[in-house]
Amino acid sequence: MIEIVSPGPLATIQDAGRRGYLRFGVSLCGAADAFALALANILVGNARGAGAVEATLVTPRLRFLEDTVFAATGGRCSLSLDGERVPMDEAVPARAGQTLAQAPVTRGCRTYFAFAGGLNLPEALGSVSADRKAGIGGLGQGRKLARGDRLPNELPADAHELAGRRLSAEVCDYLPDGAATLRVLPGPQADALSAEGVEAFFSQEYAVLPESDRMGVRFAGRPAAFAGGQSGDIITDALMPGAIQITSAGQPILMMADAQTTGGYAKPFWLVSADLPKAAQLRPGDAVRFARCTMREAREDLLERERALARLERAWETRRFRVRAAGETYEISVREVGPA
Amino acid sequence: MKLVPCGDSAASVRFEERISPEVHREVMAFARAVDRAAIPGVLELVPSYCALMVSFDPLALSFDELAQKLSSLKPGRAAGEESAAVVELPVCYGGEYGPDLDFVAARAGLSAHEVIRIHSGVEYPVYMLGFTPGFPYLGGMDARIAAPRLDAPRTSVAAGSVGIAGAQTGVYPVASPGGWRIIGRTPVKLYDPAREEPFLLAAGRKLRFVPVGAAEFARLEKEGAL
Repeated sequence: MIEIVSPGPLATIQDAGRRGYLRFGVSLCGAADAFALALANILVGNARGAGAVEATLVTPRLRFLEDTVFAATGGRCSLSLDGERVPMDEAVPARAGQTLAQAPVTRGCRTYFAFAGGLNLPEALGSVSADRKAGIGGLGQGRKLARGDRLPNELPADAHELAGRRLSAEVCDYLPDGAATLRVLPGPQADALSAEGVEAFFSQEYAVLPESDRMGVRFAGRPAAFAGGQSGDIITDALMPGAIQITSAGQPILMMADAQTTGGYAKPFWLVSADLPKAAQLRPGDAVRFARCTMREAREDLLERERALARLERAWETRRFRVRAAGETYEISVREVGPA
Repeated sequence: MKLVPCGDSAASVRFEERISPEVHREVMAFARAVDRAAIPGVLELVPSYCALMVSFDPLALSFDELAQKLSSLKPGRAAGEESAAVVELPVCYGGEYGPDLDFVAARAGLSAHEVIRIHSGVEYPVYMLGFTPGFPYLGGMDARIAAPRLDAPRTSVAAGSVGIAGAQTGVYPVASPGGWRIIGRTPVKLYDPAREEPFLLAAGRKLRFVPVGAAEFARLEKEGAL
């Protein structure tokens, strides 16, 4: 069990999200930064998409009621366990009774905490992700974490094998540090903007607005004009995280994990999948530029990230074999220690 | 029909840009054909008024590969395959369940009874679900009972509330803030995550409102709660 002593401004339970219900109006939800979620889970030996705590701008104060092993990834913060500094991007053992102090996120926006053995919570529509609108997930009704909440966690017997799991420093290179470039591909209303509107979209530096949340990142800038005769209103159609709507006022909204499933604004652009984690780490006030991308580049970046995650999983995988020798059965564990 | 990308992880199949049952039948027929084809890597199909979004795992499938697979599909004859069943939704009109019924009637120059007869006399096509879980976008409401939204939305509209906004009618599946004129309420849950079938409706179905009295409403509500 892990107790939430103080939740911070917004902490929720999120996993890889809810699949298969978009057509019924249920948002995908899940970790806004799925890459950081995967890293945290891999560090503690969980499946990539297991449920974890997503903290926003300030991390929660946690008390460990039993021994566990945790990992913190994503938005940078300075963590201390019972007053002693502990690293991010590493499997950290915590003993029963220890407290993890609250910390502001100083680079990026969202920090993820995964626990060895995962969180033992019931799934709703195939996911433990908190969805307030649908009233499901998390610790019930999709609500955010509150003081006194307890997260059920059971440490696996082989948790001692997690010792030494650590990510290299470059892993957080994607985190924006006050400024970021986001790459886009065409969306379904690719012709909605005028030539000047397109020019305005790609040439200026936008500011991330404080109203940004898990539903969408809102930007302020010079309005992007619509093509002749168009207002930006469309016959409502479907959307997903990554869609970039241009409102009637000419301002972009980038849809995020909790995005509604349909919308009535034109979507001239769509973020490349590989840049979703970066977008999830934008903070209010950050400066953002949009850049064009190709399908090929978008896919190669995603493949590269997938290979990096697979490498980590392989490197830390323990394989068990049963061997019979001289009438006795032995179990041996094997771990990859480097290239041959 | 044409196919356009939605970034690297979805595609949108576009049909004639207008709201009509004919266009929507084409959308649904194409959705069924994609579903039947069971293309590896395709994750979700989201039909709307005149488009179908097909989301996919970009590591398993590229837009070009998907485009090729979709172009070879043969959607069945639109009309023959529809699910014929009409979902009937009991509604208690007026009173505490429909505080705006009298407003709608006065505006239309009709009696409350006539508004109920007109509203419940139509089979409404469900064009899509969206906005909140299970919220149906319905077509085909009689223009005589159209009514503007409230100037200031209510902070909470009860689940099951049946409303009118402009020329549209709809049902709130969950309690939420809302500016629609509320003319009645259904005791049937359009969305219940604990139910084996969490959603009562789906795009392509048809919906008819059936007027019931307060006693029947109470009985059905109790039955549903068991």
